[in-house]
Amino acid sequence: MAEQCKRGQFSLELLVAMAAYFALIAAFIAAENSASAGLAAEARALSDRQGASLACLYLDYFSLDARNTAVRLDDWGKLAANGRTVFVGMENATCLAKIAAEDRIRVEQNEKEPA
Amino acid sequence: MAAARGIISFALILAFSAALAHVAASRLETEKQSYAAKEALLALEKRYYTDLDVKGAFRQALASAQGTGSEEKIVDAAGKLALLEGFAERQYAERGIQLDLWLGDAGAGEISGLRRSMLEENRALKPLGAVDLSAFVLDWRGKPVPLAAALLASDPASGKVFVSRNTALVPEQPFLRPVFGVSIYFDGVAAVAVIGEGFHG
Repeated sequence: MAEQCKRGQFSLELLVAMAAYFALIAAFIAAENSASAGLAAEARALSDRQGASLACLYLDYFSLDARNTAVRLDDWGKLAANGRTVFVGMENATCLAKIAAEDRIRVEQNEKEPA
Repeated sequence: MAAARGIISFALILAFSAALAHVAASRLETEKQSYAAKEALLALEKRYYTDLDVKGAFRQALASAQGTGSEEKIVDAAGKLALLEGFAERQYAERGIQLDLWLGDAGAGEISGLRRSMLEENRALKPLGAVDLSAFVLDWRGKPVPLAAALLASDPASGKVFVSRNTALVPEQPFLRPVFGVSIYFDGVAAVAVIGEGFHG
């Protein structure tokens, strides 16, 4: 009976130690998850920022070199534009070209077509 | 205990791998974006030089017009333009670019609508009121001449052939506005190069 009781006490200590250990691990996983979510959000923002910059580069180029031209922008994801600003996700970039976005994106042409 | 540690380590590695996978996926996406942007810029360049090249061919056809009088020069230039259609369309088709050379009606609204139609149909189209550059028509004497002659004139002083409505040679074609055009289509890029009044060799 005494032996059983001693074994029971030992198990309780072990359980407490394990609970502490699991709590530590859980805290660590929670911290890592939060860092991971932050990392993913930062990666998304970076990707959107680059997308906006590239879209601006393209639209600036378009204003110089694409009179009487229409293009399908399937590979560019969701683009929105207003004035000289292009929006991709939550990020934006300011372009040189003047852009209007209605049902489609229009770019003011600054150069004459090749003659 | 050892098994529990193993499971926990596995969970930790899994969590860390998920973060790494996020970063890797984001990097892949930015690379894709960058590649798509380069492709799109190159496509614009391709359009620009196609436009320039075809206009160069037009200029050459007008500049090389031969004949003793203005009428002969105009017909010669028009004949060269008529031949240019098939030649240019074939040459560019080999490079994956669809061209359609035409003459006729093309107001600004028409051209804008035409570009949209080309994107929808994925091919080069001409405006509704336009005809092939290689089309022929009867002149005042009933002799077949390239229809392009109706939109070409010759400067009496310099002898140069230029784009202008010409009713001296061909009866007025009421559907024709003095404009030549080239519809260009490839890989989601639709463009219309306009060769209007006053263009010369």
